Amino acid sequence: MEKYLDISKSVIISSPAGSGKTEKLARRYVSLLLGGSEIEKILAITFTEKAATEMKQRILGILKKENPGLFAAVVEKMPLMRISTIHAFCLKLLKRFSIELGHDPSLEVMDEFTASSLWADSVYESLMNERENPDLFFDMIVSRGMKGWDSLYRTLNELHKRRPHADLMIRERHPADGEEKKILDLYERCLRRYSRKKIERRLIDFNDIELLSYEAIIKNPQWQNILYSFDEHTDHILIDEFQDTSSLQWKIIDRLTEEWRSGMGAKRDSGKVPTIFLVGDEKQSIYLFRGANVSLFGKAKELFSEWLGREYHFEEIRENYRSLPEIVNFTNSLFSRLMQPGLYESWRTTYTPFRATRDDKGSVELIIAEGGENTRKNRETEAEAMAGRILSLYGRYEVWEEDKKRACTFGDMAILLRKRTHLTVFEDVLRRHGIPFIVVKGIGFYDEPEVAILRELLSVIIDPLDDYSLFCVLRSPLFSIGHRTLFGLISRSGVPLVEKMRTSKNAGVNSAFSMIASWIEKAQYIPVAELLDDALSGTGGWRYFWEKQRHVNIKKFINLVGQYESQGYSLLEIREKLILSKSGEEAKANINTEGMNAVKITTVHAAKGLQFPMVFLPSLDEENAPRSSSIVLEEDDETLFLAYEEDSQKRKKMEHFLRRKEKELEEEKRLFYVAVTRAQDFLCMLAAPKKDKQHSGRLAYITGNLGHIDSLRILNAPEADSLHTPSRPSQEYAFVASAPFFRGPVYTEPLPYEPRFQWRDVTEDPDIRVRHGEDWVLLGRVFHSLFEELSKGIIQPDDIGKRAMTLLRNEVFTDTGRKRLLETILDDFRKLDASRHLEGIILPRENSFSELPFILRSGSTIFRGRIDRVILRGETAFVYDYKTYPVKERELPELRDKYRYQMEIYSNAAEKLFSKKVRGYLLFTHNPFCIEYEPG
Amino acid sequence: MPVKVFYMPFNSRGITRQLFGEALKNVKGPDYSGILYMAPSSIKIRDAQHEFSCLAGDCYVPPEMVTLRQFSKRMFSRYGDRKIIHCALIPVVLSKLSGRGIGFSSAIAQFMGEIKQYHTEKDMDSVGRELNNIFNGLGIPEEVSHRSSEAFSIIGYYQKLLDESSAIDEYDCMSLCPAMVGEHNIRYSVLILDGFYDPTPAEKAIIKQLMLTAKDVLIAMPYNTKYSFITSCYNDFIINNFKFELPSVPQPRDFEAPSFYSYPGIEDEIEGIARSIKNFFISGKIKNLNKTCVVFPKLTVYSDMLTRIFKKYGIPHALSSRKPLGETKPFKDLLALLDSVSDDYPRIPFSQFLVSPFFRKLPQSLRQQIPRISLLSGIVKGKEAWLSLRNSGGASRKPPAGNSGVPACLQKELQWVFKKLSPLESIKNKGTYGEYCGVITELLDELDFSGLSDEKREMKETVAGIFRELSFIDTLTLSGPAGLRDFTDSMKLVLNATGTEAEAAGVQVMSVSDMHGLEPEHLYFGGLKDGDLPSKPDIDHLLPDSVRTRFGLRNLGKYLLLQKFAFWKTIESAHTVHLSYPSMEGDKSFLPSPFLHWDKEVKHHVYGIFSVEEDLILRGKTPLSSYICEIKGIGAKAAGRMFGEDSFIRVTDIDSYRACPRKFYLERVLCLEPPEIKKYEIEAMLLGTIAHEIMQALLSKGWQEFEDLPHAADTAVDRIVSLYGLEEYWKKVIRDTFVSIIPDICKIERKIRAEGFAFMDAEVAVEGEIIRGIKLRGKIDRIDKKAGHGAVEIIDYKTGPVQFSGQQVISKGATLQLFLYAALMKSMGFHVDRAGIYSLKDVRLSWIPGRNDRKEGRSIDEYISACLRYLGETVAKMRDGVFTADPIYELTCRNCPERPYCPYIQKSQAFPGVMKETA
Repeated sequence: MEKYLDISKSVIISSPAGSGKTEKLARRYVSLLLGGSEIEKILAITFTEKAATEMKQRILGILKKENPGLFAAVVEKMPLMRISTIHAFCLKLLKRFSIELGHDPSLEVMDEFTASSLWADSVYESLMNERENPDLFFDMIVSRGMKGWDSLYRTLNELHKRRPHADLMIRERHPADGEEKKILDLYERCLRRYSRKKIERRLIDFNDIELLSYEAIIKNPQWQNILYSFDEHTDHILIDEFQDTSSLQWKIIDRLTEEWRSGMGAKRDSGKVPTIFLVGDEKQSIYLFRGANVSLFGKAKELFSEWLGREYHFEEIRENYRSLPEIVNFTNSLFSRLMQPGLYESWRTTYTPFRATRDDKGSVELIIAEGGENTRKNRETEAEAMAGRILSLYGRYEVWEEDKKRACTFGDMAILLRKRTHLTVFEDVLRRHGIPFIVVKGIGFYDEPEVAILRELLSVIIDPLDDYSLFCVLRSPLFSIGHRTLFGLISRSGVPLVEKMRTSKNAGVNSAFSMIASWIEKAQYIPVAELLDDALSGTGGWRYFWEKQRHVNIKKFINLVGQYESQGYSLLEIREKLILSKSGEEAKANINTEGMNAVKITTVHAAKGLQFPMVFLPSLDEENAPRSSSIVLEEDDETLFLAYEEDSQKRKKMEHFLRRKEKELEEEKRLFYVAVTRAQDFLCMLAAPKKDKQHSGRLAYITGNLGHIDSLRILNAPEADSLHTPSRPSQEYAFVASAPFFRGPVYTEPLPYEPRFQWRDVTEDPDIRVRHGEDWVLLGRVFHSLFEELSKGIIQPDDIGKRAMTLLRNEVFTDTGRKRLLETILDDFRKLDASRHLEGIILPRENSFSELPFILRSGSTIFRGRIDRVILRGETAFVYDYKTYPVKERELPELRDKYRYQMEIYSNAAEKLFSKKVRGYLLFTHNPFCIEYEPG
Repeated sequence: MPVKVFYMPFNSRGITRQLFGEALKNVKGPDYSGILYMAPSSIKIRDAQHEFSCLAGDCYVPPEMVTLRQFSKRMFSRYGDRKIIHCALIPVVLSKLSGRGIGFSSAIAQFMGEIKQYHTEKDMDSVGRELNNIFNGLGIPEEVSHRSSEAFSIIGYYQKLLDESSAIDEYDCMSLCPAMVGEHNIRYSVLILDGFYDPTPAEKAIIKQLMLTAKDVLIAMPYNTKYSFITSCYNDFIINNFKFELPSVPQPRDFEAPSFYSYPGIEDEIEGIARSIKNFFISGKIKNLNKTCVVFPKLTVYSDMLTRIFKKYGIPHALSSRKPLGETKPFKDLLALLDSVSDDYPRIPFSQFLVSPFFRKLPQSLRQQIPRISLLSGIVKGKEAWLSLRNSGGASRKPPAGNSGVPACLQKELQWVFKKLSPLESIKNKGTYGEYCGVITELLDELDFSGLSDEKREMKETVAGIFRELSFIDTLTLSGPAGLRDFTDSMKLVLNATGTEAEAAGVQVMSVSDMHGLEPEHLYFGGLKDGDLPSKPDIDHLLPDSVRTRFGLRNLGKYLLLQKFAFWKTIESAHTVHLSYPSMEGDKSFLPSPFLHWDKEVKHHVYGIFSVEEDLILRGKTPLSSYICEIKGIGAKAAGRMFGEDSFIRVTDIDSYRACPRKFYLERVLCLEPPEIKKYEIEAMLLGTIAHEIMQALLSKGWQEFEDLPHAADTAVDRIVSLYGLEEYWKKVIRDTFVSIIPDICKIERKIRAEGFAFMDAEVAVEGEIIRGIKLRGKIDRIDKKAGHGAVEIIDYKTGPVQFSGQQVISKGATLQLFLYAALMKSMGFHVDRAGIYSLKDVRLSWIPGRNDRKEGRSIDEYISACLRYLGETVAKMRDGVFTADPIYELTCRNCPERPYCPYIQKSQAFPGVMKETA
């Protein structure tokens, strides 16, 4: 048995790229199950939700293959499996203990838009709070000179982005002075308001999840109960990608498992040995910007050793199952130089070489193209070189598929970008060379024209006076109004464009106006997501969005809008969400790349956890310089430090800023490591440095260590081109096709469906409320109940007052109101009595029915209704319909007409039910009048 | 009372009709009112009504067909004398009684509901004692048991109040129902119980009472030996209480677990279902759409998207229930109104109300203008802020720019709105529920809150009903005034619990629970992903699962098993089955439900084109990128006029054009402004104007002593800021800011003076023809004159960040403005010594020529001649109407709204037609 599967020990595995890290975690999970652990008592933490699903799948896959019996048992209990992200786990913890923690159990996590608007409110209110007595806000605005508010607001927002650390600074009173202290003071004021607002609305934000969980188990008076409960429900914890854990997350895990390590506790008393299993690779820690603390890996190793002694096992995997030897050699030789052991800075990474286990050789290339006058030109040159290399390799280079070699396809290749700044350049060059590609998780969703057009269309529907959006929609292929026409329309100033369209003599403009006007009208009652669909079909717009990526982008956009509507956002809010998202990092819609013969373009971050037979890494010459911000919030061991400086020159000399920069540069190395280790068979790196300029960025890592690097072939662009005659792709690869089942026959018309029968309710008068007011609607209900109960003998005439009062009590909640209505009821009954209708129609008698339900089929309609009263006398059925509101005698003919249709149905039903002649009457009980229905 | 029990195998069909057939043997039509038919869901009831109509002829008095809950409520409203309170109100009442949040109160309400259903005959005290014993027996910490004790005391109080207020809840209604049936001697000729399998004790009590008095009883119970533990309790109840017969029923057929389809996303899944239905309908496999059911475990996640997609495919369909009212457009607008009043008119909710089409008396101009104003006003919240829209008051509330402007009547109309809202505003912290209902009703009448077309009546009816319920809270809880937010929260609860059942022709779309007892011809069961089916129950904050088990309540195990039972019952009862799940959605991936046989996963392909979208997509040939084109020669005539030899071109336009001609065309020629959300701030332009005026006022005096400057600044700033309708706070900010930078300004001014220059003029309008045929015009912020020398320096004030590089001026033609001014001055006979940008943000003055220029012996004339070169070529292009995308700095593209349409960014023009569809 592998040592890491010993379930009596806690384990830390340092598992480099390609060494089967996830498999090991899954196997450990399976071992726990085989060792008798209950599925609901194993908690596995993964870095993403997707990883959680994959983990589940892998565990079940192993079981299915190796232990079908256990597989069946686990499947049965699948809902109880606890494999999730740390956030999902913490959220459950918060919800589970919400009452103990002083939260309402209905608490929900708000989305970013709501959070940012609550935050903006809080800052505004905090500022306004000192409107009468200028205070700290005032001083700080003024001290920042012109545009001081702008600068201060930006600073507060920057700090807010650094939650939960910014929160912790305040809560834990970490040291700060001078300007930083003042900023923190202001931030605290705003934060307090923000927290109050969240509590009022029973909301928390994403950062609260970890923060509140941490406080729940550390500070809350109920912490013991929470820990007790956790302990009761959990025997083992497994954590994947431990290198990307933040300090706060670690503190949570640490606290939850404190007792496990003490060698005491109820669990151990009962003979159970709880375990922790951490797996990760320091060299792949690339989430510093999200708060990952790479030092924790080393710290955890030390602590486990100290705490657990023999009950702890550390293993460093040395095998690489992914890459061919040349790639492994290159990686070892380069990163041994870049990641050398250091003594004092725990955030630096030390490299341990690994061994290739695969046979064959592989290839590592560095192509250096000649740079141009600016960065964009550099990237264009480099992209050309890369496209050439791709074409020279396509169909010629052989890659492994399981145990066989085959000629490579585009689908084997991946281009990994450090950032997406020049993505369009690469896309452009690939397109030009006819190389099929697909951007996986590409941001810039809102920059795509098809998305922008729909966004502008939505803006116009929401605000027809928005000339800019209307202009964009009109010039788009949806309407294809030419710039010349638009210029003519718009240049006549002073009137909104939509108004000018109304009076335009241009047929295209007129038709566009009619369509847009109808959408604006429809938006009042149908969801705008539906409207966008309609618009694309109605204008024939879909014809322009046939390219797969564009097609799915549109669908994604419509879905997003649909989701926002379903979540209850108003159109104004949706518009604002879209405006704000414009500058965000929304990824283009996913395309399932499985089996697709296209080069994948993605970022290194998005490629983490993935592998590709052939990897291209362009832009090695790009500077590693991280973007500098005026605020740094650094953690050093247990202490947090805030540093603030607007002047970028001064920042270059300040300790905290320098330290942060160092850490980020260290992470750049790790990111490079992640990129390089994605390659299985072939790795091609590219750069286009400026001539005579010292190499920078990742290129400098290589060229600065050339003497020590193995297995690398350096080529200039022409050399690379000459390696093989480019093999041109055939046209069939020129673009990724749409879904294959979109082919004839064509049935685009709505289904012509008419059900055999239509059911219809025969309903009461719709206008009573409008014409007579709310009281008469209410009285109508009470009268009908009283009439029915009288007719059926449930109550006697003497009981009317009492029963009416009971019924009124359930509808009217003031004594005066009840009294007033009761008087009306009694008065009406007196009049009914005097007119003898009470006795003649309402009171019980033989052969009579009250509130008689019926079903009547007439042609293809089935009517469903209730007749107020039917009295059978001799060969005649007398049908009565009660109308309880006041009428005037002169209105009777009109009312007779109005109710003719209803009475006709009643009469038909009564005639068929009783096989008698029918006479129908409308009994107006208030006045009272009784008039006979006359068939039309 | 013969009882016939039909143990129906899951995959047998037609039981409901069989039951009716059996009943009709003893009941002669057309009056079938002696039959009472009961089923677990109202959808099943509707289905049974349709079934019965097939047997009963053209006209008849129908059997009574109800769920148990409907029956008990009907009994109570006929024979009872108390008010039945709306279920959604229970948490509100409990919250008011306990002072706890609505979430905790909802938990108590659920707890109480369960106890009343599962321990009907026990009083609350004995239930409490029993539970205590269980808690103690299981060794559960006191904190946990304490919570259920607290719940009990709240429930006790609640029950007392119900009694005192002569009210009752639906659970009590069910408890009292058996006695009522007995007391009023309610009896039926035939009682049919169709599809029940695990009734609660409260339900069983009603069933028992009805069975005792009915002449004939027919029971159909779904049965499968694999799930006998689900039905055993119901079965035992019948066996132990009644003699029964077992009529013959069909033998269970072998049912092979069906294969299932995986789709790459939720939308693909719904489209797959839609395509399949349409294909089957066209090919005749589906004849009756009403007998086709689409089911999802989490219908709410799918319903909106499904409606949209089915509409796209032209498939008539009906969702089993309409959206809760709280999620419909009119009521969302109504809630926005209430939220606005309670929260001091925050920008978005208040705007939402102001543009709502459902408040018909709101002025049309508000509806037109508010969407734009909402973006540009910079308002965060506050009535005053709204009312000062036109005063450029507040921090920055300048009237929105752009060609739409703000009509003068807007403020008046807003005042009208606020006047209407004032009664509600005046009680927003002290009203009772009844008062809120009254005031809001009046307000809604005044604003004519009504739906569009046929919803109009329904909406008023609904609002009245909801307010009646909410008003009753005052009576029930005897609580005093509450905040409007509290009232709105309660109203939201009621609105969200108020959904109506829908009946329409077409494919029936429903949740799993609605499917009980239905036997569709074609069943599409989608959304079968891990986590959704089976799902876990919500967290129970009052009773741990072990206590629930011991106390006979539904526990986790049973909850999961019931879902399995429902799943198999549902799929076996259909004629054909289509099971599916989405394997991904966005970044998330899903596993199939564990109820599915994982090795039976298949891909789904339905060939054909079933929607206009698919048809159009196939017809598409030209790439979208080819529609992204340069703007050239557009309006060349007009451009010629605007920038022609007879026109004066603004100096600033030259720089704008050079920054990017395309952007210039949109912004300066067409004057279009993309929608942006204005932050709450001192609006940049306003601040710039004020700063310029202050500098002018300060420096045009020609004062002699710098010591005088602070004092002069005080006076000048005071005077100038008072001209603008700013809030006092912001006036003071500007004043103090200026005062604080005065020492630095003094330093700069001293330096200028030391260099021999003295203020000459400010805001100097200049114009001239510096190249033949090109006339320029502009305004120089400041001109200083060198004493006794004739030379001048020109200065431009900036409030934002400044980049001023001589290299860029010469090599790229960037920032030409000052040198064009210099050229104009030169043409007027001045000798310009240097040009400077005076940053008020950094309080710094940057000069060209600067130190490096001097080193290299470069004078301003070189800059001027470079500028003139650029000017000539720039104006020529402008006159030709060339507005290509050609940014001088790529950085300007980063936030450019034209990015999606820009050929420079999208790189589209160079290679049109490369991409080809190959399907």
